[in-house]
Amino acid sequence: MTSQGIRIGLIGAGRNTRDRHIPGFQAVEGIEIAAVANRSIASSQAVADQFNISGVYGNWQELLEDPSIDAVCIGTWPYMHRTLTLASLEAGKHVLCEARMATSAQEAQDMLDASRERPDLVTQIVPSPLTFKIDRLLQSKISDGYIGDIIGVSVQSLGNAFMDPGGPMHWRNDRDLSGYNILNMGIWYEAMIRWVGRATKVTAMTKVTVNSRKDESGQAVDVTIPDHVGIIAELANGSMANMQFSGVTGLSSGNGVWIYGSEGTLHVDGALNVYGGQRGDDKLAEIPNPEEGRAYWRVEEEFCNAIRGQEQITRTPFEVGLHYMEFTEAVTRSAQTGQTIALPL
Amino acid sequence: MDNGIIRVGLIGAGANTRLRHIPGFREQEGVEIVAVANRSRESGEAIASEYEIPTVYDNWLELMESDDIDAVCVGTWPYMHRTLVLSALENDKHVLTEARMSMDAAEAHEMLDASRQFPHLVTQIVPAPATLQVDQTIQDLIAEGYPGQLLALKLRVSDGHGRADRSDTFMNTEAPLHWRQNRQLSGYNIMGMGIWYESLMRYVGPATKVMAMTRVFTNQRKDENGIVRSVSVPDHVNVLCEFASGVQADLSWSTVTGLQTGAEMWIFGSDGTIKIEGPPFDKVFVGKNGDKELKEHAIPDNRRGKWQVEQDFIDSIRGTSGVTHTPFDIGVQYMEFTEAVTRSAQSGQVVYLPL
Repeated sequence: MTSQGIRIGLIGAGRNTRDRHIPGFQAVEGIEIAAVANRSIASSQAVADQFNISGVYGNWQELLEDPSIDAVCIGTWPYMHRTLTLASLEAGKHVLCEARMATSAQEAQDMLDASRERPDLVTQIVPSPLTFKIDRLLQSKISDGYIGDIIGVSVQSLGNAFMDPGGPMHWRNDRDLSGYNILNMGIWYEAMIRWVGRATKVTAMTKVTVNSRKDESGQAVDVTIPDHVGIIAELANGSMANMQFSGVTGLSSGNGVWIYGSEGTLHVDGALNVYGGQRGDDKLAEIPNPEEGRAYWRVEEEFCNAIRGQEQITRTPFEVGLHYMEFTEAVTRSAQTGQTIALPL
Repeated sequence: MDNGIIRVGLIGAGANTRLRHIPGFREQEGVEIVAVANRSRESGEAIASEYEIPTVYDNWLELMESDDIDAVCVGTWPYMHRTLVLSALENDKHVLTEARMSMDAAEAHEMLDASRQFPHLVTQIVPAPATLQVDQTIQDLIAEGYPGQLLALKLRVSDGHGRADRSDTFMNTEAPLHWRQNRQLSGYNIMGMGIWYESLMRYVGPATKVMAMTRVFTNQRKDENGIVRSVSVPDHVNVLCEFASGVQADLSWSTVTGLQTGAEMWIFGSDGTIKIEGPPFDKVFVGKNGDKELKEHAIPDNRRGKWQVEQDFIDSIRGTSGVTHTPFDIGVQYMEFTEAVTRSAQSGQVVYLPL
């Protein structure tokens, strides 16, 4: 199957699809992006013209009914991921689904269950790419025992801008489109899982600072997705984590990760430089991160290789997507109820 | 108070009493440190001879019953604060008690109630001192509306308590049991949490909702006799809370975060940000919407606070000022927060304040 030609259909061709997936697929030998179904036939046509895609469909159902399509790349907002994934699998097509996986843990579970009913089909979620550059370095430092037992993890993803009360409604602010997803919480949690594993208990508090925004037509709409989130968690490895995400922390210190161990500390700064120090050191020092050791974006290649039976999906399988969607939902449930939520749900 | 002289008795003369309170009282005119009662007569005599204190009592009860003492400075660990404060008031003595106020919220309430039964006596708790230099400036900035609507607060504290070697900031399983790690002596108090919360209240008021998770990473330590004791006071604490002012806060304290030292606090508002870090917490950094980065905000000399605990206590006894740092009702608020942290961590539920 090495040289098997694969015909890809795009459902939803937003920015990430155009910037990443289309060039990514075009770089894989034997791949043809055969069709596109965007929100309207006109927008489909525009994408098709720009990228020389021959098939243009007015909606996703028509695309899935096309027997010549082998695999689907779902680039819609989260609210359609479950429906499109299940329909694609039923239509016998491999699925690469944009992140966040779904709007809720239940949807993610449905998607995982559906994928298990079709072991002949590849299912993949677009991975969190934020920390590709440093994932392997952190993993190897931790597994080499550089920090000893992991004690504490701190992940901070704070925006640098002040609250923007007049700001327009973004799909990430729209609960109908995004579900339980908040800011870039799921992306960071997915990255964190790679270094230190999963959470078993989640406690969270959230705040909606800007609770009304204007939609495309200028109409004021209520916002219920938080723009400031504090999370504390217990991890399966026995450590404790705290995570902060915010869109209202003007002039903050931005992004940063700290991993504290019994014998050493690792720190990642906002520019993804990695620093470390061990007992006996008097300060953190930068750890070299040679380019050749780093992971990189190869989502479309991995998807195609998996279809051809040449590799297993590691970035990111549906199981991991379910893990982060459970965490994501647990955050809102904890904030809603004032109770610590145990994982898995 | 013969001839206007205020006679102070010391109960418990630990490090802070010797370093701070004794020199502090000595600077006040018309104040005499007349007696001391420490854990043993011997240790009391050692203090008395070092600091030229005329009378040594075998125990605190004898000191309380002395008619020649006007005011008591309680320097014991928290487990004795309630008992000693109540006794001091019943014995018609003003009382300055060391922080933390008490073991738990119930004790703090009893102390507050007792203080209200003796309105002619001054009651004061030793205040959170770390941020005294910047408190007024931060309060001024907030009052002027510099940050706009207050939204969020972040505090991270790497705490040195209980470490044998302060230069080694990693988890230390060998260090002996410190009184702050001993629940029998410290109650619900954890590291410097209450101290910091007291400072935060000066900026954003009291919290209304607390959720916390805590961890004891070193759960056994040897006591002073070499006997292994189990430890239940956390060495790593994460707290989420909401303040009545609408601020949501992420607070963390740890003694096990290697190569992290000191503390930093951020207050995020709709239009501006305020940051302090230290120790020493002697500078305030600010930035407003439109700025590229935070910059240092000059603190006028007359707004820079300092340690004046003993002076405040004496002035209050003389009626020339009132206790602001720290009155018992504020102590109750931080003890309620302190207890709420443990209750939330134990139950996995949000705890609402006041208790």
